[in-house]
Amino acid sequence: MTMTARIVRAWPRLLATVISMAVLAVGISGLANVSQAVADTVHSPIVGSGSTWSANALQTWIRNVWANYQWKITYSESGSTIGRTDFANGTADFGVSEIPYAIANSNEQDSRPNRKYAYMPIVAGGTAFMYNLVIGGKKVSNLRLSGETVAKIFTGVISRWDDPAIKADNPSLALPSIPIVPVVRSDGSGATAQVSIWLRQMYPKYWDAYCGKVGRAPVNGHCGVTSNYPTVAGSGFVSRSGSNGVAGYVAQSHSVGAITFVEYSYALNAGFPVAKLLNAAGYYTEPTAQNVAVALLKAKINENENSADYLTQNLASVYTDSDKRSYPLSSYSYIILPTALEDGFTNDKGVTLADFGAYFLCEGQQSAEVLGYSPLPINLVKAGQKQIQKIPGGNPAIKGIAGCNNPTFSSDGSNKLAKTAPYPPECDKQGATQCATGTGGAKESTAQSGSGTDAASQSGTAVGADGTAGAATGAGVGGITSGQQVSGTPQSIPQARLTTTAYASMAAAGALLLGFSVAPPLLRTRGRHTWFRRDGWRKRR
Amino acid sequence: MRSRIARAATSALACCLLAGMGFAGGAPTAKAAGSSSVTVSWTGGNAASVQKYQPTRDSSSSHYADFKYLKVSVDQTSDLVDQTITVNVTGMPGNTKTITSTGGSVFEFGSDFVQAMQCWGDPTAADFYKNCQWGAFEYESSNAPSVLIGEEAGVGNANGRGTTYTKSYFTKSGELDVPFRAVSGKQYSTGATDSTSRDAPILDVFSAANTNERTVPVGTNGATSFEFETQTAAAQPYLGCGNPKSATGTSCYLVLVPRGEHNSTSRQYCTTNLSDYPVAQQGSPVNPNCDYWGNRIVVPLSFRATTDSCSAGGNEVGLVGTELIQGAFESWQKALCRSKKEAFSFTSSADRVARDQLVSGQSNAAFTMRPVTADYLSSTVDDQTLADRKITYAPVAVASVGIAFVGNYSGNSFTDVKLTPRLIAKLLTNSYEWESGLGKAKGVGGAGAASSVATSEYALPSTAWQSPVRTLRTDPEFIALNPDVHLIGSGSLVLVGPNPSDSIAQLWRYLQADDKARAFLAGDADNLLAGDGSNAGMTINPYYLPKGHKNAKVPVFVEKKLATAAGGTMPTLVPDRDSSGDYVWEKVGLTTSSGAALCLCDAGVDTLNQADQTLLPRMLDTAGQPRYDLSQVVPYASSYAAAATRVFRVDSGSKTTWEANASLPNGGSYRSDGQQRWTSAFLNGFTTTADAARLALPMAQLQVPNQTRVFVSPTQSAMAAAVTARSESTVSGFVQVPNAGSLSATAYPLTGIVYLAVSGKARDATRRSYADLVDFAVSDTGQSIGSAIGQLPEGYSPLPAPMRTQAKKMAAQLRIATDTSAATTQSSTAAAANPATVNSAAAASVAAGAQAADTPVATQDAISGPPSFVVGGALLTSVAGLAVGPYLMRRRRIYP
Repeated sequence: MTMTARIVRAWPRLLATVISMAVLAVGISGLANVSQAVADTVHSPIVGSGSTWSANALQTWIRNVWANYQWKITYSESGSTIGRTDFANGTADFGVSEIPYAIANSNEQDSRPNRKYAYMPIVAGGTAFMYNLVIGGKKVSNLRLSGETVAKIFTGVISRWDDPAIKADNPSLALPSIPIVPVVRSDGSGATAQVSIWLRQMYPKYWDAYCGKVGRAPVNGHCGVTSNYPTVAGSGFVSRSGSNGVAGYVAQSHSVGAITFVEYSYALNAGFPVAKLLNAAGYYTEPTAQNVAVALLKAKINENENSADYLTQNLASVYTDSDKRSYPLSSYSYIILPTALEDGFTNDKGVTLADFGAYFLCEGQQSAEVLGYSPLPINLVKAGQKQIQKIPGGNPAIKGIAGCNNPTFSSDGSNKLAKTAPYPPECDKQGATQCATGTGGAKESTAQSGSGTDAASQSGTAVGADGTAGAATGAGVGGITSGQQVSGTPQSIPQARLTTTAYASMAAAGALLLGFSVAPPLLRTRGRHTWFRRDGWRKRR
Repeated sequence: MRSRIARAATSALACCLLAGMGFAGGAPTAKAAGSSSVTVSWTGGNAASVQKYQPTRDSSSSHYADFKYLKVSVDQTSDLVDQTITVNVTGMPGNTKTITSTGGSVFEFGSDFVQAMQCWGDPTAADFYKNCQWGAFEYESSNAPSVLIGEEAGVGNANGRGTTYTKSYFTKSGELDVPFRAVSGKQYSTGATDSTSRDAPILDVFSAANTNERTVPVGTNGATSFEFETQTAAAQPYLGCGNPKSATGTSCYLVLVPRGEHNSTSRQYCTTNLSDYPVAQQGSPVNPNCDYWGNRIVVPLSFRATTDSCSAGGNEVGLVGTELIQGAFESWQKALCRSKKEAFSFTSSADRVARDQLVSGQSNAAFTMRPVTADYLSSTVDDQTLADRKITYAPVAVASVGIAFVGNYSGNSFTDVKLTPRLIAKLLTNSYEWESGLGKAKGVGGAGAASSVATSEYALPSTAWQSPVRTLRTDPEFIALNPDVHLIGSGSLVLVGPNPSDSIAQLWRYLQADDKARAFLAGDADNLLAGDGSNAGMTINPYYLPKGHKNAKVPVFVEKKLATAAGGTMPTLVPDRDSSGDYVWEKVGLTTSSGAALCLCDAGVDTLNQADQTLLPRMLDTAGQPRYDLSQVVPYASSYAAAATRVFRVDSGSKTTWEANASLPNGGSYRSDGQQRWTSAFLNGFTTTADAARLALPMAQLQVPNQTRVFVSPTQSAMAAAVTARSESTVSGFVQVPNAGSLSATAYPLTGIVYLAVSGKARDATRRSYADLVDFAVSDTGQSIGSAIGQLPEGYSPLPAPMRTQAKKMAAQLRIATDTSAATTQSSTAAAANPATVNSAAAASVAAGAQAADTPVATQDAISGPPSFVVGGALLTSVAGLAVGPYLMRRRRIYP
């Protein structure tokens, strides 16, 4: 057989070989391009503005994602009001606020922006009443206040610490006859707004009267919700800018008698106590991560996807929650996400923002408790992940619950933190007994000074499956209650983002491998037949 | 024959294919360390490698006279990461401008300035100006008419003048659009010529909030000096500096455009000698219609190649602790993420809170400079609870704190300032006239006050405390130490607070170790002790005296309506008098929580106080205006990093400018007083040495207690000397730097040794991660000072070798499985006596058998690399083999 003839006979195989090699070469370069495809995604730097209430959490996450993932986020803490304004006029790529735009019954004008947006919860926490009080030369750390007493304090109805209302809350304290110095925010603040919503709903008698005192007209029949706490000149109220400002004032040694409302994280780090607040079950609680988680089980989240306020919170039932562990002034803080390519927002910025949002809904929540916040529950994480899908350009690594390392998740869908939250000891119940253990950043116990019963030997108890309190164990005065934090095992699996070319090439390679493995035996069968028939062979040729 | 050829060809094909699959990638070549500073002369004569980037200068141009002596030097131009470099400018014209403000005050400024921008690409290209990141708004002149220098120097219509810098500034129609060209080649318009659209595309890529352009005034001596923050491709992907795959790669440029006294073209937006603005030239540096761009100086910058980061989506191992470890942790965190694919996260919190959380179980690992014992926790903890935690310690870093500052005057930047403990005490206690409440209250109150306000009714009692010294820089004590430092700024000190911290406690111990500072804090005048004769006789602000001290009193103020210049009356605080006309005094002073007098001279304080309660302004501007105190003049910074940033921006955070606005509650609001003007800026801040180094801020030299004229800086060696003097705490194996009084004169007194404290309750897998962290932290890379990923940043000092060994032993111990009960009893018997022992025999014996820590490998792409190529090659070869095999194995004709 001549060479030409052989080639002619073999050309289908040769052609197939050449084609397969060419396809595979493309496939190889496709694999090479995998890394290129990953590198081509540009994480554009983004700028955010807003709340100081949640700033401690945001700044921690921002440093970590920069170090680990090289996402550049700049956040300016100027208060929720400025955050909403900056987002609306396009100077910020995202805003952070405790309250949505155009909140109902607002004293101030705050209209929805033209810019398209969506809300997403970022972290939960308790607005705490940080105070500075001394009795008998010792710092008080176990003050308790009913909501009504708090309302009276912050509307100037009560002005001295030994007021009968405060005494009634604190039977074991010999309260001094010194003035109360209420410290409020001077800047436009979401924390102020949260407190005013609570006052308006729960204690309208005092809140409405306060509007009269400060000369504000009622809104829809009652004193309005406000981000700018009004004060009466000469009333002894003090106003300071920012969460750090009000906390800084209360923390001074000359500020004995001062009390403010601020996110729990600030009191914790300043080393100062927070007042336990009376809940609807008749127990005084502080805003630990667990108590906040319990309370927020009662938060009504706007689930109408078509509403401009989708995912915002209605805390009406949180304030009145009758779970013994509940902390009434629990709430979420929100990020305002852009959902359109406008006002300087680009797909590249969307890549960063979506990645950041997906990160803090899941992994970021692991640091919520140590920071002094409470991690988000699963329903809000799921809803938040859907909101992230609206960010143009976004393509986060974690899109769903699988792989989401949020500490509240459990296999049966319940909130692990809320489920395992310890019940308060009986000394926290409203009545003649008062717990001596410290709160917030002042864990030292307070000795009894008043005439009521002290329950210094009681401590927090573990919760049973049916919610009954276990036996009180005498763990010693001032014992630090333990809460085991479960850490996940670090897993970091690099993700390949494959192009369609790569997929096609790999499919072709697989098919060819299969084809070339199977074909020769099949073809050879015919050859053998030909081979063994000598005459036939000659004939085939 | 042909079959042999065919076979050979196939083998050769296969081999070549495999060889050709050689992977790209390997460790990025390490650049040699060493001085990479560059000086460029405007007129020329520079090294060829630099001169080639400079435009030709025209000696007949009106600009030539302005810039012929101009020289620019940059202290570091290679191996750059996201960091700060220092730029010195000399030889500019030193002309001044005189401006009269609306209040009638006359101010003289240096009228020239420079603009520095980071650019990518080819400096010789005709449209290189499109490759630069601009847009900074800086130095609002609060004295002159309210104008930001950046506004005057921005592209487009100057209609933005006087407004806040919203994005609408860019979109008003102007004469020219100068787009920004990103490294991808895409151009982003400023929208300057499009009045219809609200959006300015250039804001897609940078804005005033994240640009690194500097617009810096030049002093009357024609010089200035400033810090420039370089941005890698990670921080600014549209410049792409450092990204080996971008069009610019690791080469970028610092372009400095000097702004002098002349212009060659007289065009709208390119004019000079604006009479009522604080600069001589108006117009953008990148506007080709103006002729400023032609005066540029181009300094080549070489960045370290950026590497891909960790992939998101994995779990992170969380740790808490002192902020002093933040900088080092970030570097180690980056390296471990890339090399071992282990992601960590760090939450900084108040020092004591971190230790509390370790004991309560909320955290399993905390960085701390004090042992986890009852003394250093927030509440009483019984020994059993503490023992149950089985805390072990590994030293990981040596850090320090101190006073960083910016001190400029008239173009000179002072980087060597010496402070004594007493000077620091004066700053911490608002004892200078201009820093104190009573000092500020002296001024005739309010812009609207009538001249009659300067009456005996308004004046403070002559016996009220006052300071004979206005400010730090006029203090004879300061001048005697720093005779060559000439400043006119106020020199306030930014404090961190309100959180207590171990470093603040160490600062107070340092002050209290010095006799003169102690005497001052106790209430003595500063000119009584030996050698103090030329001091002014300052005493401490009465609010900071111990309560009960005879001088711890201030006048009581009451509100009265006094006449304003406009003819009305305004509520004004006047000193109260009793019925017999005597002044009424209030007793003030510091106390402990028990009410006992607290003397800063010897108390165990761990916070920085804001004790001055004077309310200001005395006369209100509008009815209902709330008064403020000093905590609004120099607000607390919430972290050391925030304090350093305030110093860097020369903005103390002061918000005392009242803006009336009837629509707001209280009738208005306080707005920021803005940055200090650069050429007269003077601001100090208490921060970490690492934060200061990150922003290239100088730190003050501190006098050694009781040793006049002996000073020490927070250098590596001075910090190491402090560590040499380490003494054991109550926990075996945990050492601390002793108090300042016990240190040698070469040791920096505010040095701290940071340990990682790990709870025995942690799970095995987590403990192994902590071990990886510790092993890396004390590895050769982790303890070498530098800016590469994984290295210890500037501002830290390497651990001495024995402490690194100790840390490795502890890490080895961490790798022992303890989740089983058998292991638990073994370690608990060893630890029963002292839960924190790190040098126990048990630990030593298991260390030998422990798994060796991995050293980090050179970083590589997470996705690409040898594996994918080898797989592809194997696939190709196998298919080729299968395809060609039958051909080779075909039956051959056998000829009989």
